[in-house]
Amino acid sequence: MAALDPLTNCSDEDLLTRFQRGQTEAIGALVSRYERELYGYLRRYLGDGSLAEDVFQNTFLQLCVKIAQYEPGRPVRPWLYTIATNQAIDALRRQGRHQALSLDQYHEDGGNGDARTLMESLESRSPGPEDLAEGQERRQRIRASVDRLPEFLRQVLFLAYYQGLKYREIADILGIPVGTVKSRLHAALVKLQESWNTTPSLYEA
Amino acid sequence: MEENLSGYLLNALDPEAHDQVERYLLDHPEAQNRLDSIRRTLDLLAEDRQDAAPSPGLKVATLSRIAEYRCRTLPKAPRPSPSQIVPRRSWWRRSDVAVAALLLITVGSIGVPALANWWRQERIIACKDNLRRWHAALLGYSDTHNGDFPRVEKNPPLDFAGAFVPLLQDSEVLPRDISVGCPGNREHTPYLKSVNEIAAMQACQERNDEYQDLRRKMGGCYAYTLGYQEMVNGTPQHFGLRCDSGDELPIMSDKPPFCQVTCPLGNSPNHGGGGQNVLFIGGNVHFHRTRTVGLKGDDIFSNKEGIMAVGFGISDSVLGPSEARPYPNLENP
Repeated sequence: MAALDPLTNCSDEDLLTRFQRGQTEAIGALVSRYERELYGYLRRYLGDGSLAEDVFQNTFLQLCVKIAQYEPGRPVRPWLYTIATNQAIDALRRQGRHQALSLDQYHEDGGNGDARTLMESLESRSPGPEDLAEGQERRQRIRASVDRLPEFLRQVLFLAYYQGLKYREIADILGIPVGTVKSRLHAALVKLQESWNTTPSLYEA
Repeated sequence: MEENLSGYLLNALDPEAHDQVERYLLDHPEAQNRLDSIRRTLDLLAEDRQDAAPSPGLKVATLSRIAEYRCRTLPKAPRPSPSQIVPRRSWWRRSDVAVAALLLITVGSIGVPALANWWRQERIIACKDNLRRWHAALLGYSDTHNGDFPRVEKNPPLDFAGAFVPLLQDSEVLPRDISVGCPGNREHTPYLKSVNEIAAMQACQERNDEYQDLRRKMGGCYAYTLGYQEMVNGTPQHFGLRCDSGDELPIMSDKPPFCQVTCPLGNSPNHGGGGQNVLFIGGNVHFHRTRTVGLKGDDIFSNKEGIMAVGFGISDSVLGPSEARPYPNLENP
């Protein structure tokens, strides 16, 4: 029976403190722990898998560069998300896509390799190509509605809904008051409802 | 409470707020419909919840980059060979002194202005960052006010440009450490009074001096939009700016040079008269060396009649310092 990695039970904060003190394997444990979660966030935010991987690597690199600034006990999760969000914004800026994300970006639609721009999918109110499963079509429309939200609303929606963070954590990550987080999430959901009300078929199970 | 319902469903509230919502739902059964409506929206979002998996090599690639960063060392300079070593001199020749003097003069004439310029640029950038924070607060306000930004009123007590501060404060969108002091000017943090406190102050004759002082200082080093006037059914009506008024419209800036009703030409004193940072509705902040940067070259500190007052039409809207009033000709408050 393989011995349990002693770092597995360490908290994020403990791992980072150990790394700060020179225990290099602690950063490996942290990367493993956040690999799927943070990549998922970046993938959704950036809409591009390889860019998300690049930004994921940069995020942890920045964490190492700034490790001297880490105060033991400070929550790691919001800090990591703050760095990741800033890195993602920088990446979009470099690509000239900031604020104009995804209307022209390509989304691969799963197994069949077919790719369509979101703009096309937004415009396609009628049923999609025959070989496209209905569920896939619905998902694509849902994603298109989310991508049409202004960036400051999408950020909050991603962090609150898809990443399951608390309002307080989101406020810390984005550097805004909790009240603003609440109002932005509310506004995002209202906008999605309005958008989907014009496509009643989306609400049909 | 409406805004807490989504947080309740997502379990994103702190325990106290979570309990509040539960009590509210017990006392207000009709809120259940709203909760169901939000739940349906969230259920729909769930269909697109599945996360894509990263490639198998992501962890290794990340750790490699970290290792590369940590192992990187600066190349050592090669040791000079004995033949390259110049014998030491214990004294300076005249030519050495001349070269040193020349260097000092050159560094003095180029370096000092360059240093001053760098310092000025740093202040401008810090001021821009501060204005972006105010923009986030303004957006937070508009989120909960049907798209409206804080509006300076025609009549007291909120008939001065600095009134945007208490309006934002009452909406709980101001970060705790935000400042109305421009880093280039090094002034104070905002006077955080609520609208009710200001109204009470204005209503009390004994506190008039305090009220007038607040009107002068509340907006600090910044200027805020006084709004604009348009004819509606033959009557002039006063409007404030909204988040959809146009990304290119100025909404806030460094304060203009000292002015009463007419404003002398010239730039904000915040950056030594070299120009002013202007925040536009779309969120852009630019440092402009002139003040004619409104729509179609409009002067941002005065309206078409050359007066610091409400603009004639949306493209003529004017930014005023804290004490500026949209209708300066009305009776004094």
